[in-house]
Amino acid sequence: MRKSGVMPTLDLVEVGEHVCWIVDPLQGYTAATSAFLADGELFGDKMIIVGSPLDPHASPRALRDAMVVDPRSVRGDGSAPDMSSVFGLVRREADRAGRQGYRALRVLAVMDQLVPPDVGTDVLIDHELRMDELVADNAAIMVCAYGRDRFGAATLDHVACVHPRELGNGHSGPSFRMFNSGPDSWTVCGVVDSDGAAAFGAALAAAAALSPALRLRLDDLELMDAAGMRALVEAAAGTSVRRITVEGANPTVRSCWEMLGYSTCEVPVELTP
Amino acid sequence: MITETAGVTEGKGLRHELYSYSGEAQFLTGVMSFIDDALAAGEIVLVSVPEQRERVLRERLTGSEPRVVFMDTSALGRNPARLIPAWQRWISERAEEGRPVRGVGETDWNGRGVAETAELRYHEWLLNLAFAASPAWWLLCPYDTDAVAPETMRAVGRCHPFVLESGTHRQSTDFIQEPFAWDELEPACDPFEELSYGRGDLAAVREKVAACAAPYGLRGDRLRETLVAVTEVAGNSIVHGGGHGTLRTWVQQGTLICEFRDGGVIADPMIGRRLPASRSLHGRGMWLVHQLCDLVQIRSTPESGTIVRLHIALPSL
Repeated sequence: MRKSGVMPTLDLVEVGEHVCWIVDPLQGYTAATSAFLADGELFGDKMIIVGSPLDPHASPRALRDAMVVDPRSVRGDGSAPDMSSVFGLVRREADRAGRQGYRALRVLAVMDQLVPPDVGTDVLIDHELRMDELVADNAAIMVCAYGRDRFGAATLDHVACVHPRELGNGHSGPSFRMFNSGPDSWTVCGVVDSDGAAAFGAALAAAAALSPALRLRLDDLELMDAAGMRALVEAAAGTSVRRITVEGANPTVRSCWEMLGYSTCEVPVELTP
Repeated sequence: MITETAGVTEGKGLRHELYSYSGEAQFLTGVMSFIDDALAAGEIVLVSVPEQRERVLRERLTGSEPRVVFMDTSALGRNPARLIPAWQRWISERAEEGRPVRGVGETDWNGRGVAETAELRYHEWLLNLAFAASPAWWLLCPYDTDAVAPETMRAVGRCHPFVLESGTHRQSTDFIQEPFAWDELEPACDPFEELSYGRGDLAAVREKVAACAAPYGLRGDRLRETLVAVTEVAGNSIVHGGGHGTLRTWVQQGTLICEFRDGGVIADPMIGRRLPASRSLHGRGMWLVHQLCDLVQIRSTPESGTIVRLHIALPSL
C-alpha cells in the first residue's frame, strides 16, 4: 500500500513515491535538490531533471550525474504544452533505468519551466494522474516542483490533491488526495468537501480517461459532503465512464450516499463493502 | 360512524385538518370515525401516530384491514423536517395504486423543548405550502390537549384550515393565511466558542466542532455525520452567504448546538425538505443536513441575513 501525506524532507522519499513540492520564492531549490540528487547517487538511481539547472549556483557535483532535459525539447512549440511528451520521456527512461542496472529512476520535474501558469488545472491534474500511475507501476521516484509565486493558490491546491505525497510542514496540504493503487484502481483519502469538489471531479474525469471502469478505494476517506458526491455522480455520468465501483467507504459515506438518493438513481456508481 | 362534512369543497392539494382531543377515548372516537369514512369511500388510510396510539388503533381495527397502513416513523427520528418528505413519499407510492389517500399524523410531544416545539409548529404551517399543488388528499392531525401546552394549541390552530370538532368536519375560524411568524431564537448559552470562517476554512470549522463535541463523548459515525452537516452549512455560507460566516458552538441540555451566521438570504421556506429530484443533482446539501441532524433551525431575512442552528443530541455519558 502506498504512503500518502506530507513529508518534511525529500530525504525520506522512497521508490514508488510521487511528491508535490510547492516551492516558496525565498526557499529556493538548492538545498532540497542537492540532497535529492545526492541521495540518488547514494542509492544508485538514474537521475533526470526536466528543466534547466534549478539554481545558477548549483554545484557541478550535484548535477554531475543527473541528466538535464531542456524543457523546450519536451514541451513542444505549440501554445499549449504537450504533456504527453513529458510522460513519454519519463516512461522511456524508467524502462531504460531498469535495463541499465539502476535501482530506480529519480525525476525532478520543474513544472514552472514546463507549463505556463495559465495552463489550466484540468491539464495539470490529467498529467499528474498519468504520472502517478506510471510511478506506481515502475521503479521510479518523481518530484514535481511548482513555484508558489508562479501558479495561483487554487491551482496549487488542486495539483497537490493528485500527488500521494507532498513536501511541507504538517499543517499544509489539501483536504483530500487521490492516487493510483493498482490497475484501474485509485485511492481517495482525507475529506472531499465543497472546497475540493472541483478538483475531485477533475481528478475523476482524468482517471476515467485512463480506465473507463474505475475502482475507487475509500478506506482512508474520512468524509465526503454533498458537493463531493455530486462530483462523483457527474463524473460517472461522463461519456468516457462505463462504471465506477466504490470500495471500502465508511458507514457515514455510505449512509450519506443513500440519503442523497444516489443509491436508487440510475448512475453507474456502485458502492460495495 | 359517518361524520358530517361542512363547508368542504373538493379540489387539489391537501385538506389539512386539526383534531383536538383529550384522552384515549376521544382520540379513538375522532380517528376511528375518520378511518371509517375513508374505508366507506374506498380510500386508503396512512397512519403515523405515537406507538401507544398505534396500539389502541390496531386493537380497534378488528381483523386485518389492508387499506389501513401504519407507517413506521421511528426511522425518521425527531427532526420534524423529515416528516413532509416522508408524507410525500408515502402519498406518491400509494397514489400509484390509483386510490384516493387519507392520512392520520400525530407527533409524539414527549420531551419536546422550546426549539423543537417551534419547528413542529413551522412544520404544520409548511404542510399547507408543501402540498398546495399535490393531488387531493386529506390529513387529520390529532393533538392531545392534555400533552400540548395551550399556547402551542392556539398556534397550531392557526396553521390548520380545517378542524374536526364534535363529529363535524368544517373550516376553521382560527386559521390565518399569512407568513409564518417565528419566535425569537433562544440566546446562545454562555460560554460558547466562536470562529470566523471563509474560503478554505472548512477544515478549521470541522476541527472546532470536533473539539467542542469531544468532551461530551461524540465520536465515531455520529461525529462524522455531524462534521458532514457542519461542512455543508459552512460551505453554503462561503458559496451563497457572502463568502464568510461566523460559527458558534455550545452545549445545552445534552445537545450540541452549532450556529452559523452569514450575510446570505434563504428565500425558499422548504429548503432541504423536498425529496431529492432525480433530474437535478443540485440543492441537496440542506436535505442532507436535515437527515443528519436531530433538529435544524433556519432564520433568514434580507435585513439580518441567515442563521442556521444545528442540534445534535449528545450520547449519555
